[in-house]
Formats: sequence, C-alpha cells, structure tokens
Amino acid sequence: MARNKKSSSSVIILSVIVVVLVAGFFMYKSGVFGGKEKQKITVYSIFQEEEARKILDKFKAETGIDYDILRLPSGEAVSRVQNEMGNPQADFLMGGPADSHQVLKEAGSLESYVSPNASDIPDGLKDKDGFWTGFYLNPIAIGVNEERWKEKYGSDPYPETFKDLLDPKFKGEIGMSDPATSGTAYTAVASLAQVWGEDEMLNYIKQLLPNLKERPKSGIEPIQKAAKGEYTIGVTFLGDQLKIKYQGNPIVSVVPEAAGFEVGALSIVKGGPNTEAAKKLMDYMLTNEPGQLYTQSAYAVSVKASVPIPDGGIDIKTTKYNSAYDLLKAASQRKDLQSALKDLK
Amino acid sequence: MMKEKKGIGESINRLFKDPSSLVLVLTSFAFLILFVIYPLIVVVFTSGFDNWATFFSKPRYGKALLNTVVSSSLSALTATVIGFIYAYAIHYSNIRGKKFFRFIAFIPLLAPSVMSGLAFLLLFGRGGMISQWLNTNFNFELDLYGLPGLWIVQTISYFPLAYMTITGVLRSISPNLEIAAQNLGARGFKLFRTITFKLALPGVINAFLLVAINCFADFGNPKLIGGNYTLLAVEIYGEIINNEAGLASVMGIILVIPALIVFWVQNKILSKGSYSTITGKPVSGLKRITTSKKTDALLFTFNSLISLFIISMFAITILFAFTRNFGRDNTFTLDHIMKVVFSSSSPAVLNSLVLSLISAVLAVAFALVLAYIVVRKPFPGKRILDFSAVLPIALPGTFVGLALIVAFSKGPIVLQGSAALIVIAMLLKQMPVGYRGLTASFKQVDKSIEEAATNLGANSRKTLTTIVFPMLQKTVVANFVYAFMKNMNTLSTIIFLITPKWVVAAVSIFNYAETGTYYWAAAVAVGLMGATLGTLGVIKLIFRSKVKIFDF
Repeated sequence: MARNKKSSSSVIILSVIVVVLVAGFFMYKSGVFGGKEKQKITVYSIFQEEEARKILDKFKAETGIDYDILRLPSGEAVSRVQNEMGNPQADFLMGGPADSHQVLKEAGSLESYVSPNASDIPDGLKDKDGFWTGFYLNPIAIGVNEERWKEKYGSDPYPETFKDLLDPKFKGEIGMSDPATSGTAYTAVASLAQVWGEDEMLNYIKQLLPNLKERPKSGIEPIQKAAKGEYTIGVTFLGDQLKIKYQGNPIVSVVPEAAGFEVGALSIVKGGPNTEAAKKLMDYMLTNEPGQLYTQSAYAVSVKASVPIPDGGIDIKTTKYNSAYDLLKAASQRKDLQSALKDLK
Repeated sequence: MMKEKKGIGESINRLFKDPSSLVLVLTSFAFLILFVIYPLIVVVFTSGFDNWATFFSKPRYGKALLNTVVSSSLSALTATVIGFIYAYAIHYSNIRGKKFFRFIAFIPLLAPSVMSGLAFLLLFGRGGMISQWLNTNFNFELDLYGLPGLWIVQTISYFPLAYMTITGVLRSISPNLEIAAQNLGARGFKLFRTITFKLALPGVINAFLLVAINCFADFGNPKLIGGNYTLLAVEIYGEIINNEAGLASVMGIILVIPALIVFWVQNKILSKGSYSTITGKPVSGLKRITTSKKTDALLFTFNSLISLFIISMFAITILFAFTRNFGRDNTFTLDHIMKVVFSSSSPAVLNSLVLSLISAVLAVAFALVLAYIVVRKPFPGKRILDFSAVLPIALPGTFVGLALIVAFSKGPIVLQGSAALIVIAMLLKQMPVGYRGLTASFKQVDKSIEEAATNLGANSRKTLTTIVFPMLQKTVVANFVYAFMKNMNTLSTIIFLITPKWVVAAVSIFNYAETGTYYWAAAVAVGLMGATLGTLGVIKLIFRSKVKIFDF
C-alpha cells in the first residue's frame, strides 16, 4: 500500500506541474503578463526572416508592439491569406512580388490604407487604392562568374543583352530557373513578352534552351551554382547576385535591356487581429530606417529616392532595365505564358 | 475470458445500466469519428475525379512517386543493414564500449529527423565544412544534393529505429538454439546464417518496413537536400501551397496505400509469431556463443564509424548554435540562442514544449480510456472503434496533417489556426501506440482480480484506482515519455497546421535551414533538445526508478 501512495502522490505532483505550466503559458500567450495590454502584431514575411526580424525588433523598441512572425514563400502566403479570410490570422504581409499582393487585393483579402509616408513613392510602385505599397525594386540581371569566364572565354566582353546569350559558345553554360515554378524566371520572360511580343519571346526561349545547363525550381539557385563554378552564367534578380558577390564569390552583374523587375510590396490583411498596429507598422516601414536596413542586407533598391543606394549596390536607374514593365499585365498573363512555355522543346 | 451473454441487444442493455461507461464509449466514438473518419472522408471527397486524371496525365507526379519508392527502399535497406550490424555488435560480440554505443544510438531520438538534414548540409552541403575542406585541399567538388544525399541522411535518421526494433528481437533469441547448433558443428558465419539471422529475420523485415514507411512520409529531409529529385511528400506540400487541395489529396491517398500495405504485412508477420518468442527468454547461466576476435575488430570499427558520424552531426549543430557564423567567425556567442529560443517574439521551443506535453497527456489518457472500454466493456461497434483508433498509426504524418487541414479549414467546423488542431494532430499520431500497449497490459490483468475486489465490496471506481491503474503505471509513463519525445520532434504532421502564433521548433529548424540561416536552425535544434532533456529529467526526478528513460 505504501508503494501505491507514493505513486499516486507522484502523479499528483506531475499533474500540478503540468496544469500550472499550461495555464501559465496560455495566460502568457493571451498577454496577461507583461503589464498593461501588451500589443502584438502578427506578420507573414515573404522576405528572409532575418531581415524581417531586424526591422521588427527596431519597430518593437520604438512602439512597444511585440510581434509574431512566420516566413513563407509568396505562393504559400497568398493561399494562406486567402484561405483564412473567414478568420484572418495575420495582420501584415511583408515583402513578396506586388503581383501576389494584387491577387489578394482582387480576392478582397486586403485592407486599404494609404500611409502618409507613401507620398513620395512613384505611382507605378504602389496600388492607387492603397491596398499594397511598394518597398523595394529588384531588376533581372545576368550574373557572370568572372573566373570561369576567363578560363573559358578569356578577354571576350561579357554578354550585354538577352540576345547575346544565344551565342552557341554558351552551350550548357547558362542557368535559368523554370518560369513555371519560379517568380524570378517568370518576371524575366514576362518582361520579354511585353517588349518583344509573345511569339518572339517564345522563339527566343526555344533558341536559348540548348544553352541552358538546367532549369531549377527556385529563383536564386542559378546564381548560387554559377558562383560555385558549376556553369558560367546565371539569370536571377540583381539583389541575389550582389548578395552572393559580397559573400566572396567572383560575380559580375549586368542588367540587360528589356530586363523586367520585381516590386517588393507591403500590405495589411483585412480583419486581422490588430489592424491598428498593422497601420503603425506600415507607417514605420515607409520611413527611411527600415528601407535602409533592408536594402543594405538584400541589395535591392528602395522605392524611395530618400533611401540611399546600399554600399556596393547598383542604382536601377543607371541600368537599361525595362522601366515600362507592367506587372499587373504580367500577372494576368501568367497561366497562358506558363503553359505556352511548357509546350516548348 | 469468461463466457458472457452475447447479442447486440444484451450489450446495449448492459451499457445503459452503466452510465459512466456509456459516456466514455460515446465520447470515444465521437472523437474518433470527428478526427479520424471525417477527415478521411473529406480527403477522398476533395480528391475528385478531375484531380486523379491530372495526376495520371502529368509525368512529373509519376516520377515523384517512382522517386519516393526508390529512395525509401534504398534508405530502408541501408538503415536496416546498418541497424542490424550495429545491434549485432552490441549483443553478440565482445567489443568494448557497448554502453557508449547504445547511448549513441539513443541520442538521435532526441532530435527531429530534419536535424540530420541540417547537420548534413552543415557538413556536406555545397558550403559545408567537409565539402569546403575537400575543395581547398584536393580541389574536389562535393555535390550530394538529390538522391545520394537523401539516401545518406535518411539512413542516418532512421537507423536508430531499425536498431531498436532489431535489438528487441536479438534480445529475445535464446542462446539455446545457437549452442545446440554449435554442438552440431555449425561455426562462424554458418552459425550466423543458419540460426541467428534466421531467427532474427521477422524482426529485420519488420524493421525494414517501419523505416520504409517513415522514409516514405518523410518531408523535411527531401525538401532540404532532395534538390531536383522530387518526392511525393514534397509535391503534396507544393500543391497545398499552390492552393490545390484536390491534387494534394490525390497524392495523400497514394501516399497512404503503401503504408496500409506495409501495416497489413507487418500484422501478418507479427501474428505469425517468430521463433524467438516461442523459445522464450534467455536461460540464465547459458552464455551466448560470441564472435571471433577478427570479427570483433571489424564490428568495433563499424560501430565506431557510425558513432563518429552521429557525434559529428551533433557537434556541428552545437558549434553553429554557439558561434557567430561557424567557419567564418568562430567567436563564441549566446546571441542566436537568445534571439530564437529565449525571445518573446520567437516562442517556437516553448510552443513545442507546451503543446507536446498537453498532447502527450491527452494521448495517454485517451489511450487508457479506449483500452479500458475495448477490453472490459461489451458494446456494439467495438471493432470499428478499435480499427479507427489504430488507423492513424498506419497513416503517414504528412497525410494526417493534410487531412486535418483540408477537413477543418472550411465547412461546419473550423479549427484552422488554433493550437487545438496541432495538439489533435500530435495526439492522433501517438495515441495508437499507447492504445496498443495498454490493451495488452489490460489483457494481462486478469478480470478475476477485479471481480474479487468487487466481491470484497469495492465499487468499480475503487477497483480501477486501486487495482488496475497501479498495475498499468509503468506502461502509462513509458507511453507518455515516448509520445512526448515524438511530439517534440514531429515535423511532417504539423507543417500545414502552424500559424505565426503557433510556430513549433521542428518547423522553425526546417524553415531556417531551408532559407540558409543555419546558425538559427542550429540554435533552435539545440534549444529543442535541451527542452526535451530537461523535461525528461524532471519526469525522472518525480518517478525515480519507476521509469526507464535513460536506460539504453
């Protein structure tokens, strides 16, 4: 009997510990501790969590608003926000191409808010009804591994245009992602379709295929592999190339004519748990400090002229990028272009 | 068991006379129908004919299926072979350091399987320590992404599972037969081949099947290092992301089929019984025939190599967690741990701990109730209840997560975004294990003991609390510990269910590893293991010698 008593007391101790722990935790989660109504904002981040946290930590220090964050690829963020419309989980959508935000706007998942700090952002880079606001720009670029180039092509000039990439000497030396899965590669082909017309773009890709070493799924992979010397040229967003360059890889970037670009955007989720805080965050995001924090580590260019070009960054305006690129048109053509591309070969 | 009056009418009658049991039976039915049967039906319904047509018309899905079958079989094969040799060395040889080797095979259980993927990236990825070293010293480019890397990682992640299963079998093989065979002239490899291996074979096959299902459903490792080598579980994730619940459901159902076959085969093997169980426990005084000195040396080398591999994986993770950016900047820092483990905006480890504890407690309690009513109470539909209770064990985690998200994100009951759904998902995966164990224990407690207590004047509650439960305590605690550890490390079951508020550690590790923030991934992994060890320590303090947690 003594044994039984001991065992039941240990069960009681354990249950008490568990109950206290659980109750305390849920009270903590609902914000009972930490003094007067601690506010919390919930963020879906499409850009890297490390950069998002840097900005949100500063925001927290300034406003006292704490945050929960979940990093997601843009496709997942869009389907999450749409699926949660009945019961929105997040307040703020951070980063990701503006066309994704446009999809959400059309689905009625976003809250319109024109921040006073958005006044100096050019019109094409923010939604006219305030459903999303641009944050950074990132053009498509041709990244060349200098070392491998020297070994293979000596002192030949680097390719300057997309058409230069058709040169047969590049057979198996170029990496470009699959536009069916990669937003990066899709931006590239959609811009070409806008400048040259759809048929010529398809014709171009058809001629380019023999030169492509592979078509990876994710947008950043071609330049990572080019940096490692697996092939010579990678077509990706400029920011990704600069970031890899400053990690110590021999990369030179060229932004060719007709290069499309990405507008990284911000938006507020409609009916989220803390829309007021989301508006404050939007105001804060559009000040110079977060802009600088972001561009300095992602090497994108801010939509605001008042945010300086990051050290070692390239000012998009000095390049030949396709400034007329219409991202909304690109978004509407997506399915058609992708299936036309799939039929090539 | 005594003969009792039979017939549905009779059993319903008896149930109505016992209202507390009636409540238990009805609650169990309601729970299992709602969370096992209903999601299954929704998934089958969601899959729809069009999506089946799409699946079979696109070669990439077929390729993913083929890839999954190939890689799972390969990994299961090597994991089983390694597990067998490792276990054989521990149980049949005279090598030194057996305790150490047992410990090494135990520690991977503390870590989520995706941590092997992470450690692999840190060591052998394009920028990994060993790859870099090979590159600078021998100008040799190591590229293991795709099948080779996946094969290695899954082998290492799941070899402990094979090892444990095979150990159980080797332990129960009686030396009698081996001694007899030796007396008849069998020696060395012949003895091994004709007796030991033959006796262990059912266990080995069982281990192979277990590992195969686990690899089949594995999600994190293929996503991290599969590269262009796509697998079914990864494709499911992709379709969920693209908001194609129908296609995801089709693939989920396909993912389940082999798991169910394996489950069925396994039951066949187990019910046929192996020779080892017939011969019973080792007879004391008889010493097992052991291996020769030469074999010992080989086995020792083998086990040391495997151990070295596992230790280096843990070491590199810890190094990354506590340095600024290991390899580039080796300054010691607590920064990463403070940022992603002990920060209010990064509660992943705390979330894991609390949700796992709640879920483990509920799983064991529910298993207890189920086992009690199934073994002791007559009621109609018992077989259905039993079947739906063990069914989740056969379902891959990815599928369970998929079914829950498809069933509860729309429709009459919406649980998406709640912690409850995560707790339920964990519970469903772990409850069947406890249920099976407890059913067996309940059967061992003879009904006559309870009847004797009743005759002596104890009511049914008193009988339960004083007679039955104390006898079950060991099983209960063991199941709780097991469920808790598994919950802490689960990834594929809950990857679809997390929300910003309810991020769990295994998912964090996966996300950080995938986006290349390795030091954070490593820091969360260390935090998660710390939390698991700490909790087990507390449990050990409370129950002392009654629980065998660190008994390897």
